[in-house]
Amino acid sequence: MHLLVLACLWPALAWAQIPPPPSPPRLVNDLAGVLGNTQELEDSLEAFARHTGNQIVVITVSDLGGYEPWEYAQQVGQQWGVGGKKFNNGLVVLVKPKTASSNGRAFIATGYGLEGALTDATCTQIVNREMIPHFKENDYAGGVWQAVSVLMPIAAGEYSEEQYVGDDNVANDVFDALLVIFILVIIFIIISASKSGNSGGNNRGGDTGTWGGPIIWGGGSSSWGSSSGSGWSGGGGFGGFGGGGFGGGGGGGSW
Amino acid sequence: MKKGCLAILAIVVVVGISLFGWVKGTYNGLVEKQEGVKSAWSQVENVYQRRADLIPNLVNTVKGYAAHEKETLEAVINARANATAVKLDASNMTEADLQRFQQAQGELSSALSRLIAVSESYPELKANENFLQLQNQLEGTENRITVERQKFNQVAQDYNTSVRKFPANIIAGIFNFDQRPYFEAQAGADKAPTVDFSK
Repeated sequence: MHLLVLACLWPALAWAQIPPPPSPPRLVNDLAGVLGNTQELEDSLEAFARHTGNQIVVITVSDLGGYEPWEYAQQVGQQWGVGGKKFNNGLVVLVKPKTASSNGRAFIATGYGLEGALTDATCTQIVNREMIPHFKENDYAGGVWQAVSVLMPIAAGEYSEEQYVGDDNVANDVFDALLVIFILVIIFIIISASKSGNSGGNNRGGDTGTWGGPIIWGGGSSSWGSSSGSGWSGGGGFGGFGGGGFGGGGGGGSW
Repeated sequence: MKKGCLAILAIVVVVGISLFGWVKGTYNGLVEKQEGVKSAWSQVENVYQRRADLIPNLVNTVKGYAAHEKETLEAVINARANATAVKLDASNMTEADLQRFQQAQGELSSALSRLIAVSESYPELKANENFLQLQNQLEGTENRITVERQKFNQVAQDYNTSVRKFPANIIAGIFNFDQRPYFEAQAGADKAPTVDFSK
């Protein structure tokens, strides 16, 4: 009976291959296992979601199941309901790592509400400029982090996309400024974590180095999967996916 | 005798009230779903319009480099004119209407892909920044068309199911809630996900 219903709903049939939303909800979903320790990224994205309402999902998969990257990313966004229902302000950053037999593909899908701030061309440019150079060197975490750092201020409306597209230096300046802010934030997290006595062992110590150097991430105190981590993430995640819609906007590239 | 009358009256009132409640609830539910179909349809029209809006620019750009591909260019212009002429009313749409719409848009799709194919043999055109941008935008628009068609089908299916289910179908029949047609997958225009083993 169940199968029969599925067979009648052709979109549902096609949906069967898209992974179900994570439970409990997570913004970083490293299904391909290429990002190493994702806790810091998760914390940043959750904090960003709480503060601005924009939800950015990062998902890596080793197989697109026959979908085009744009379609896969759109389906994840739509089915999971990334972003708020009212503003449709979600983003999905999809990475399919390169393997010996297949090209790497990456795509940034925009929710309806962010199509204006992040045009298809901008998304394509972010993928080509920020992500693929890192991915080519097998630095998936670095590429994703770089892209997310550029996406966050655009999504939050902190600076216009023209500035990013038009002028490299401006983007770099802003990026540098952001980096400093992030370093400060992380230091703050570390300090508050050690103050509250939550210095749980890092069971993935070897991976932390992949997040852009030991200065920034080396002291990370939270371990993978500890949802009751310290600092910002202790406040209870980001409130879950809000039911945002995706209309097929965005841009990507391959390497 | 009087007591009996009162009892019957009470029953009639109770049945009447609950019948009214049921009709009201069902009717309003159907109206809501019908509105959903309407708004899904306007999204479909939006994305097709978005494509139509790109075409004059695209044709002009190609003309600059490949003026003697007159036939291909004219085919696109004509197909665009035909496609934009077909306007459907979401609240009164038959299967034949939607087929007409799909046919016209499908012809535009194939005229466009011929244009893109032709442009392959003009290296200068292919390198033109404006052309590349238009091509990207066209691609993004085609993606959006695919999505909105899917969404329309889902919403229409949900509505049609409600219209046909017992006992709501009684209300639907009385108040003329017609079923809505679906988009059909077209050869070429809508490809099912394919696995590319070369990647």
